Amino acid sequence: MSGSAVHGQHRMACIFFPLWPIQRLVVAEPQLRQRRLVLHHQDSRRGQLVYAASPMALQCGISPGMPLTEARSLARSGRQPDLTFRQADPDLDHQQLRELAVTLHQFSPLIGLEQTDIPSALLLSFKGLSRLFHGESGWIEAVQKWLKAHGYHARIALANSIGAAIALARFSDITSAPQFGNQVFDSLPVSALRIEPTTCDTLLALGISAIGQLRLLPRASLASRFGSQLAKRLDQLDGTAAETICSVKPPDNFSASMPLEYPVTDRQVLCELVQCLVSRTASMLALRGQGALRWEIVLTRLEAPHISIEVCLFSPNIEEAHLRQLIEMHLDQVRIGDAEKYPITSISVKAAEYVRVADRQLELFESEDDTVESACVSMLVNRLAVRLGAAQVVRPRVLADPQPERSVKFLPLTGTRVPKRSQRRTSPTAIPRSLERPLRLLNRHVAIHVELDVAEKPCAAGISGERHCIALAVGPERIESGWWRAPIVRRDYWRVETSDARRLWIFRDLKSGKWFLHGVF
Amino acid sequence: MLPDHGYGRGTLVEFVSSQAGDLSLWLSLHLVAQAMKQHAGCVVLVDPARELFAPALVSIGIPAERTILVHAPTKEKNGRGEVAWHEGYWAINQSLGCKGITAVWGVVPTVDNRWLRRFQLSAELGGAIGVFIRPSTVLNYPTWSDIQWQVFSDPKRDSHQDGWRCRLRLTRARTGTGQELELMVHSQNGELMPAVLAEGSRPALQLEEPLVSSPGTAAAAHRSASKRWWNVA
Repeated sequence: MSGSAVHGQHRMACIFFPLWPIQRLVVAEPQLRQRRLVLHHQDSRRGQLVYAASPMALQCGISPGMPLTEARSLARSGRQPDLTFRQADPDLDHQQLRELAVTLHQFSPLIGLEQTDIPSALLLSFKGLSRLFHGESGWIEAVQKWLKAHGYHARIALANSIGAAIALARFSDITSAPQFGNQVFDSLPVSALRIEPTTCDTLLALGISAIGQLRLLPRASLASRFGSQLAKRLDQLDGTAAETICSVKPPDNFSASMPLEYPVTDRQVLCELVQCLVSRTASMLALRGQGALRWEIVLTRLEAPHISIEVCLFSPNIEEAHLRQLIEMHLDQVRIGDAEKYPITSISVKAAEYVRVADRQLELFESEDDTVESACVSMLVNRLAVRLGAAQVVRPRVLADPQPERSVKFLPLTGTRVPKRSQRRTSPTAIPRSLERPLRLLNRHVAIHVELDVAEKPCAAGISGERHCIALAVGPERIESGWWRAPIVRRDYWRVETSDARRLWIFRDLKSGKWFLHGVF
Repeated sequence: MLPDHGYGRGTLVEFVSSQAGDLSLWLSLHLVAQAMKQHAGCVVLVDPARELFAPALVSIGIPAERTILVHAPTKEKNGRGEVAWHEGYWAINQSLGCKGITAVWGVVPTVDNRWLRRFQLSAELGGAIGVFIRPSTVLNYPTWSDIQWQVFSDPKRDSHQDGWRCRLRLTRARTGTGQELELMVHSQNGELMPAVLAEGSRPALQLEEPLVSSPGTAAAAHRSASKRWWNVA
């Protein structure tokens, strides 16, 4: 976490989540959405108190700070029989808000939590984003849409300073404060200034309830009468005093590890633990809108070398069940050895390669069936790569090289990023005509003996000790490698058809004068 | 000649090769290319020996960007690398059962009949057309494939013909077996066409009777048969 001072020269945004502890729980457990939810916590002096309540529970008379026994008695009395009670977890609330901030980096490069004991709002810098989102309204719309899609309800406001943005988001329905003038804040209550409750009570007792009334008082006397915080907050609201966003930065690498108190010897247990770590890391990636293309799993053994497993994927869009199947297939192939003798003492999982998972839009004329089919193909490629090895499942790429052995490159389909559209352009390759090149190119040339006729054309060939008369010979086609490449290749290729109708691709090496069989049609 | 006048989805087709270079490789991959023209999915080419030549594949109409090439790992045996064929069969079986795959091609030299049964069930499930090259030794054994062609090299050549000829015999199909067909691959454009001999010689092509059931002229039947020949229904 690092601090970035903001002086109000550029627009700031605040995303306020009303009843954040309730929202966080409802997003995690959607079945609670229609329940009257009450969160409680332990107070050192007053015992169990109501910490927060859902809007439906609030309507039933439950209020924060109410003793839990009173809330339970309401439920028992039969007036509110369906109240659901849960233990509050402020630490988890804070952590979840941080994780949400990490996810929202897609909307702003600088994002942090509001600086209170129990934060329920995020602060974002809007600097330089106007063009990307077609103005402030476009940005607010995009953020609202994303939050709504993920089950959150938030109020968003943009203003010239952090304090102003927080005040608007929490206490006003205005989403965007004007660039000039502070009149919009005059009607807001003094509590919008984030001052101590005691100061707020004092102001209310003096009949000062709105910020506009406070502005009428001499600024110099505010500090002596109400403390320095009030004047500072007013300056922060106006943007004349600096305020810091403690930005939340996304993690640099996505990994998880688990030291095992009791060494594991059972393969099934091992698989469960690995899956658990992978799921945890995958959820970290998902929060940032990323998906893994390559997983590295390291199993540390007692008094034995560690075992490294690499799981490569065709695409980052992957179901958990499928990922589990791939990991099981990998672990089945790994020789763990004598599990009793060399038990596994720790497991670590790392997403070694990851890419952004875009919410893929259906293309023109593409049906949902096509999407299902492409997902099936992804899963097939993953399965093939796991069982046979990533290097065995490839896509051929034809290169503009005249030498046949060098005219193809095999690209592994899994564990690699899809090149950007601009990088996909390759030099134009001359596609040979059909029957110009053999469909089967031998991995190694086979030395043959060739007899020539008077026209210096092949008329017979001895292959594997058998003589074949050549009925038809088409050629020669001269193929030479560049002078810069050593050793230089100079060959004369012939397409021949033997008298017993074998179609072969043979060549004479011009350096040695020897003949070779190179391909079969 | 063929059931449904073409190759339906989920069909297994075998080309039984008599010898290397007899055009069975070309014919089988040409069928894959035709299937790809009609369906948008990918093709899986299971090539354990790593000998398929990609420029030639592209030239007959199998685009590289829609091709998934599967090589089988080699295992050291007696100091030599041996291809793990069973891994190739597993890959064929998995690919046949996958929706989104248009065709699966593979060399299946010797295989347990249970594998072929699995291929058949997977192809019915996934809808891909399976195209296999098999050695002539399999002719003596039963097969689960829907259609089996035996490919003969035809050494006869006419001086005016510019192409490579081959003869096919249908050795397994629902509609009957034993019928033969002579084809020629044009060397200039790579088109597959019925072989036509010089004027006055006996026509080697016998398409009309086995392929066309409805009445019509021989020429029309000839044309329609050549169009339908590689049609993937």
